[in-house]
Amino acid sequence: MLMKILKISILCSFLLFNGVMLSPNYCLAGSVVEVVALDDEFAEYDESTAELSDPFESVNRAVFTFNHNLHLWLMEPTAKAYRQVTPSIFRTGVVNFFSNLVEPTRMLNSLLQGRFVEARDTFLRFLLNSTVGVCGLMDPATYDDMKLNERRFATTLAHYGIGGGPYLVLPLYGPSNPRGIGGLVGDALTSPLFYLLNADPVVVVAVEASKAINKTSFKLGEYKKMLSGALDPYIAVRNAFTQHQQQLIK
Amino acid sequence: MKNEKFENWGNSMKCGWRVALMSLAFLFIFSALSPAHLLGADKGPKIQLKASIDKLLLVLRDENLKGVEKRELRRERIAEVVFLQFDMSRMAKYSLGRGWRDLNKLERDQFTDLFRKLMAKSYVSTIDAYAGEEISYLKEIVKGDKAEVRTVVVGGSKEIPLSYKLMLSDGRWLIYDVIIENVSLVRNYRSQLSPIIKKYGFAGLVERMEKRIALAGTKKDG
Repeated sequence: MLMKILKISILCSFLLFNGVMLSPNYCLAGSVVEVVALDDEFAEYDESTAELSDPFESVNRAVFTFNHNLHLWLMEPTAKAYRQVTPSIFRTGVVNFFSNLVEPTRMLNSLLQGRFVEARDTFLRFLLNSTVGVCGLMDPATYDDMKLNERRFATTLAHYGIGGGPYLVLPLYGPSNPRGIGGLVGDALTSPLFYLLNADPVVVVAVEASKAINKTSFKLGEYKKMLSGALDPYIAVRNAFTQHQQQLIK
Repeated sequence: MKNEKFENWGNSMKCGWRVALMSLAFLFIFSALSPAHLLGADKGPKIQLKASIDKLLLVLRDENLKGVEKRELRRERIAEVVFLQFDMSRMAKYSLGRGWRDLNKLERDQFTDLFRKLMAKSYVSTIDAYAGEEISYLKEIVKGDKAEVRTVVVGGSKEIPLSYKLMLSDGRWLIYDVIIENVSLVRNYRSQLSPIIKKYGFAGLVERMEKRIALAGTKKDG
């Protein structure tokens, strides 16, 4: 039991280099409700400018700097070299394969959130991509206009009114919060990949690192560009995370 | 006499073509002279936005402007086209938030100018990364003189939602906020600017903006 908890916690701390640091993709479509006060033109942005609580700012800043440099000096150059020696069709295949393995998790969370039509669509996507798409290496479902519905445990927790908690920058992973960490644990435990890899932390870390490098190879320079106009990159990223979290609740 | 007049009238009716053409010409002249805001309001934010993005795409697709060596020229052109569509002073003002009220005219102008330069360096380089993605225009939401137009940029299997907030001023819908993947640029800047101005004052903010502008676009910064 202790070993399992240890494994899971190691997994969580190392899980997914990819993810939020570059582009928080778990944002959900939601309508923007706009409240504009007539007498105060600055009010349009008031409600939405509220920041997450960040009691661990100094630690977070240190971890942010670490991640930032790790990305610029290790991830990007590695991904660049990797990109030069692999055809793009291979790299797309890798993305598709791993994304397909997340579909059962997505389906489960759609169900948990009462989105039954979406759950069915996700199931059909999984079926089509696993067969016609050769074990998920290809993504015929998307070409067939069956869109991917990104539902993870973090959104399920948000759906049931669980608050995010304080802002935390996780080493290697990037911006998160306690709800996000809970979500990652849930995602890992429902992922076939986790069991395929026998929950072996070393293998899991190796796989996640490869996945992250593969993913970065598609967005070389994007992170830098995103922050090129930032006066305080730490706050710029924190605010982007805040805005995504607010979308999550809507 | 009466008959003659009637005949004349009849003659001109035969040249109905001419009448139609003349009235069309009149319409054109009249509409050209009429206040611009009537025209702009007629067109609606979505149509105006599409027209200006199409103009931008012409620059981005221009074979004569491609390549690394023409980067500076190309980015200048992009900035020209883009900033015509932006209400940069409103954008700067909203990004600063209520701190704007504490600034005098000179400081406001200085801040707006720096903000424009910062946008020119960062936002333009983002646009410059355009690689032939398709843009589809979804819906427009108009509330009085404010509007939001939602678009999606589709590249491969990736879809990036991109919304614009616009405000009607002098007959044109001008952009005052861009929301990329649900992240509002104005909100993001406001979160960065308020702590800086609180902690270091206006002078400290100016110093940081100047530093950032000097750094952006250099080789070190990408």
